[in-house]
Amino acid sequence: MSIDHWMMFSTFAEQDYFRFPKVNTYTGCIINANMASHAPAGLAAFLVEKTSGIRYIIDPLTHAFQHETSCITNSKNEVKKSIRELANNYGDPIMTKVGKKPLHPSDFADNPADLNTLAANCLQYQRTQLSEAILNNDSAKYLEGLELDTVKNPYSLVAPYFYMTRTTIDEWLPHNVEMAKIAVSKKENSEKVFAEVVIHQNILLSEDNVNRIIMSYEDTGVDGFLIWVDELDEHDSDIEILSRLLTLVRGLRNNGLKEVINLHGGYFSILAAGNAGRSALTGVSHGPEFGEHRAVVPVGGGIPISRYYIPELHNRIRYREARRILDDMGCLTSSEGFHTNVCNCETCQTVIEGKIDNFIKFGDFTAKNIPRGDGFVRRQFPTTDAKEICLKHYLERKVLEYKTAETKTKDELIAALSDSYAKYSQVMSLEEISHLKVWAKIFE
Amino acid sequence: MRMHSKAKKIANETILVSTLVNYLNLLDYEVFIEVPNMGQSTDIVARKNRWLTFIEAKRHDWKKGIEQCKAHEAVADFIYLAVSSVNISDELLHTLRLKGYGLLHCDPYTWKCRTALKATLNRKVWMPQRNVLRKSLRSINNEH
Repeated sequence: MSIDHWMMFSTFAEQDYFRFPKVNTYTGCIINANMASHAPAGLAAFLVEKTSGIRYIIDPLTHAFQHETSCITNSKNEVKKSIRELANNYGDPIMTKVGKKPLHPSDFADNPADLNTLAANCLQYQRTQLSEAILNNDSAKYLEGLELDTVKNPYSLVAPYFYMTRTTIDEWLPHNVEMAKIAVSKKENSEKVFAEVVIHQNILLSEDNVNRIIMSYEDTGVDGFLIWVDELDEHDSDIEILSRLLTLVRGLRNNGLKEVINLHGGYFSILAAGNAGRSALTGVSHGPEFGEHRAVVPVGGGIPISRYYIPELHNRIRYREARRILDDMGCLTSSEGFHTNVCNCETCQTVIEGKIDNFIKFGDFTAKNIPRGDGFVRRQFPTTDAKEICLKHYLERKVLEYKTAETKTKDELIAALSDSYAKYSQVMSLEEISHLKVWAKIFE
Repeated sequence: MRMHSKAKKIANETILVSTLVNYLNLLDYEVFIEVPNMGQSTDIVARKNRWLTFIEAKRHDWKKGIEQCKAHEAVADFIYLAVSSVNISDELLHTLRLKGYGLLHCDPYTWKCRTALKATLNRKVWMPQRNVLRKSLRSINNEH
């Protein structure tokens, strides 16, 4: 069974990568509702012209209204324009509380009909926000009938949802389930409705909580699920957390009856979706480069660092570390050796061009003076070219990973993880490679 | 009571770096500070003839300093950690010896510097990276 390969849309600067290495590489893209409200015309052009009609899902981002108001306000303490617009579309109680107080489960207690209104408004927003912009796009007039429907309508609508932790699941889960049921009851024609399960990692520490989520959603009638575990880095997670994640998604899959897409997953999720995990997921989504794990409450800033994706480690490593590791492994002595032992994707072949010294291009930096205290400090930033080749190499390897996970046998996939562990343990600390062992053990 | 307790102590890394720069100048090194290397900034690079010595200065947390030194192995002939602690721990010396890094010690009260442990010649240099570094040294205008 093929694994659906989704990508998160984050900035317009990245839109060309949705047709890299070729058009139709990706099953679809996930678009955050605030982005949809900020730039509907631009997104319509992206969907119709740039990607030739890639499928899309809008994440309604309703959880944004339950956090501290500082998460959705700008430096002037005003609610960000795109969030305000979303709130206006979603109606009360969100509309009146936005920017003033975080939304609480009890806000729905006085008027339970508000859940109904929120679900209805949220679905309507997803139905119309981009499809109207697509209809207004010049290129859309060349699309007809079914083709136009496929392009303009979201792949699935998503019921409103709120983020749950071990201490808030009692309050939020009933609302989430109720909104999923309401959303299903409001389906039109052949629409699909997904529920989105957004949880803190500590939910996965309790088998009871995991089973409770599975059972609660069992009778909602949704067609599928989007999963997002707050800041779950598959490389640093232990057996218990990852095994429980598998239990959760398998339970939600309901013997293959439902689609389940991990919104922020890496190779572990891809394996879970393939033969190793017996299709525990139907799809995995990631950002063009940075989105294999993501915090629910956005954190930004920091200096961008060039990272090279080491294929056998299934991890993006800072250039200086990657260079050291590959050098210690003896992989930086010839281009032939590099392509045999590290990567022979088209990007690597084009960059290396038969001369191993060209590996340096993946770590090309430019220095800038940054104000610090009374003076300046010199910091290096990856050049645009370095960022681009790191990203293209990463995307090519990702495509291969999806293919490998769906075509190789479980034993072959596990053996590959164990081989990589043995190979890289010669030059790396156990902490840096233990994920390979953990993943192999889980799928054994 | 310490005799030098009223002396002005090395209060931050900036002072430590400038103390080291003076020391290295006396030893006839060309000195560069804040030298970018593979996305990381090296506190001091000292050049004499064709030899490049990389120095990470740390008042506290020498373990972090050693971590930062790792990246210099691709480009440096000699790698030093510089500290301004009152005492030098055996653990620090042992770790440095294992890695072949040297130690520069600045007395926090007298500001006197000395080479407490000599670095061994690093043989892990990767020439393409070294060439980039040489080029970037040429563009640095903070030579001291």
